[in-house]
Amino acid sequence: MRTQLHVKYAAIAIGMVITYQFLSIAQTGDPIIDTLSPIMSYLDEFLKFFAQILIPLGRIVTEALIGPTIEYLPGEEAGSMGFATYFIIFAMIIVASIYLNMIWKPRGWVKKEDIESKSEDSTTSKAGVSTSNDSDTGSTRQEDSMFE
Amino acid sequence: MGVGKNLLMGIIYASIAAVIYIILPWTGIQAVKNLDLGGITINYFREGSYLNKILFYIEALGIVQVGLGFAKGTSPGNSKRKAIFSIAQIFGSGIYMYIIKFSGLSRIPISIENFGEITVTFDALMYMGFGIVLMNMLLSIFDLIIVIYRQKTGFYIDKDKLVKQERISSIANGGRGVQ
Repeated sequence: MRTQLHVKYAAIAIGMVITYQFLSIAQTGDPIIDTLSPIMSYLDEFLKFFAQILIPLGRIVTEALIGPTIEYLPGEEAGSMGFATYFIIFAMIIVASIYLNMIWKPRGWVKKEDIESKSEDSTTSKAGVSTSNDSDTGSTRQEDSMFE
Repeated sequence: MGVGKNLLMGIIYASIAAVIYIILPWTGIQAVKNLDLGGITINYFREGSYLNKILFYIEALGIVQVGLGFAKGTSPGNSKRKAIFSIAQIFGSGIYMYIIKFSGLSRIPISIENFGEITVTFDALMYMGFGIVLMNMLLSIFDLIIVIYRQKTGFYIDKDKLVKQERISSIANGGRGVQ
């Protein structure tokens, strides 16, 4: 799931640029906005670069994927029954996720490497304990021999 | 991670989704309903139907997003379930954005003193947002493929199986088994 983080950071950066853009539109003589306004042209170029890629993709998503799905969703005109549909979906998701957690793989998955490294660590630590015991016994033997 | 921890994570994810998809948009819309910037007035909701429509969709789609956030949070790490629910949540956020856009939230009417009235449209920015949604969705699908591949090849190992094996081996060795 690590790759997704980069897009999230990009989204945050774009969000910040959009905020700056909006601030440049709403100039009110504020000192902060006046300070930011010279940077706006650079930010504008940055935004345009992303826009050239993202706007066509967005059009594809809206026209091909989201638009047709929305036709099946109940709206405000359906009244309380419209909201009930969404609430039932919400309840079903919650119940299903709790049920799945109770019965199906609640502990998750781990990397094979991590298990192997852990088992290696435990064996080395055990070996370390055994050698120290040996040394202890060795020292007592020496002491015994001294008393003898 | 056990069931208790999974449920706790689910509650945290659901709370984050509630803040992002319900509380912030709701309070934001209420705050900028009628904004006066000394000569420039933003009358966001002159038509009452727009406001009701947008608030309905914020509540309705927001609650589904909260549910999906809970499901994503309760799913154990590196599981197919988590990847599937994250795809569902991204798709849900796309629908959320689309409905809000076509309810009129992306068009802001601004009246300027001694000038008249203009409408600022953020449709291009909304399309950019949809582009980000698509990229996120493609990456989530890619993540799902990676998870399936790694589970099949044995890169990821099921913790439940490991615990069962440990129990069996400890019983075979004469112990009481892992509790």
